[in-house]
Amino acid sequence: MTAMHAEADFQATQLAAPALHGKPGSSLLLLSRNLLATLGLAWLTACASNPGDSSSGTPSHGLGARLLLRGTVAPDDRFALNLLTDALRCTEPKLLSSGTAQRTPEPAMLAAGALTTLEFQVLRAGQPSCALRWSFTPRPGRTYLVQGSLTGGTCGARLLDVSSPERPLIPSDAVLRSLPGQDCVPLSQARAAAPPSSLIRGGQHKGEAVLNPNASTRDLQGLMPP
Amino acid sequence: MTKPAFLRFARKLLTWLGLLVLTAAAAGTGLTPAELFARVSPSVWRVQTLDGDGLPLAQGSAVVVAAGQLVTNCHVLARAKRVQVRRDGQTRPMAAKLVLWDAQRDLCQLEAAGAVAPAVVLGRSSAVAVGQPAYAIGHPKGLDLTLSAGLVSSLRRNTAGQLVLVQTSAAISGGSSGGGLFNEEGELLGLTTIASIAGDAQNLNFAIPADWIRDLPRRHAALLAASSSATAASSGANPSASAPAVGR
Repeated sequence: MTAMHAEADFQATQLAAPALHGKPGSSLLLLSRNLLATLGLAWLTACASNPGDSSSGTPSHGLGARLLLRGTVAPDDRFALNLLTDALRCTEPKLLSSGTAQRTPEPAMLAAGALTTLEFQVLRAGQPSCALRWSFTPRPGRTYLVQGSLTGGTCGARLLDVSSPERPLIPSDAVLRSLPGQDCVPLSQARAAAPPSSLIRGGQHKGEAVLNPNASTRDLQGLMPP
Repeated sequence: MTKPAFLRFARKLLTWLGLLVLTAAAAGTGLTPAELFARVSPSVWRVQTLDGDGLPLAQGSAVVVAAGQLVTNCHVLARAKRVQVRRDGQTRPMAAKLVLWDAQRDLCQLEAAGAVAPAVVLGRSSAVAVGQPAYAIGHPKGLDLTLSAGLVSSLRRNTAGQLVLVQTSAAISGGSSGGGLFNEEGELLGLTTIASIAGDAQNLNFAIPADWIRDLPRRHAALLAASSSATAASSGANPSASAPAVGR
């Protein structure tokens, strides 16, 4: 898994330079690696979305996408992955796969070309915890991995495209819909809130290379000429 | 030694001497780190942003690309109401204004009439090679004009194969954003923009490519045109007409 971490653990956040009132006055974009940050990565990666891919709601015919699940949990815990059938509202869960520390989950299949919302959760003493949800549009023939853990008090998970296992990628349109203990936020809100993330991979807009296709000038309004 | 043998020996000797001279000349085209710093550091300025109450908001770096024109990362300027620039050694910062922006590339251009400094020479991204020396100059953590050395570690590309970032082992930190990454000829390879803070990561730093600076006026104009197309169409305004100069 080393190679996987090498790509997937990178997260770009803005470093707050010393500021009197604690605002994130960034002077360098930084990459960090902890699990919760990695969660953020999936969220942030929405910035590199391909508008043509997302939320089309139209399943493609033919090939689906393969989905793998891995978890690191305590010996008595179980982890599971649900497909939220109402992808927009994050409701109507349907179990796709589950596993334990001792048992590797079975692969599952996803319909390609349709907005899909997945929910990773850890079941401790039968009670769900550490629930995280992502929305994205699986691409036909791709292999995705949800990898989560609940160790100590730290809970985290991430969604990766592992079609090339040596070079795992955050799906470019993946949006984190909720963190543990939080309700699912509307898709538009999740997308709007998504800060730049997979900056190392950059993106493309109208055929030109960019660092963050979803970056806006909102933060520059205070300096823009009238 | 016979005469023909002597002539052959002399010819070989001259050839080797010629090669030695050429090699020495080629090696001499690069500047020493001290020479490079002396040449380009006057063009790397400090950026300070302020909020609506005049309180400091963020600090970064900027590079002079034309008379009175400095480029920096847009994220340095985020949420600011005012921005100031200062050259090392100056006690009083000077006000600057935002004149060009390209948020998608995290590239902004400031204008400060009093920013008198040599414009840097922009390198060509197509000429950047992994393994070549790279030098970062900026204002990390407010430490004015810090020079660090490393290599071009990799060239990061998007899924379409287009260059997005120049990876370097030259150390940068918070406050370096918008600073310069230079080759050993003192040409600007890019603006230092991203660094790794992962506990097990070392010297994984990234600069947006200098080619993007050349593109800035065009892309800025396109952005303006797109965002105010209705207004521009009705007034006949040409947003690119007043685009400030950038270095070449």
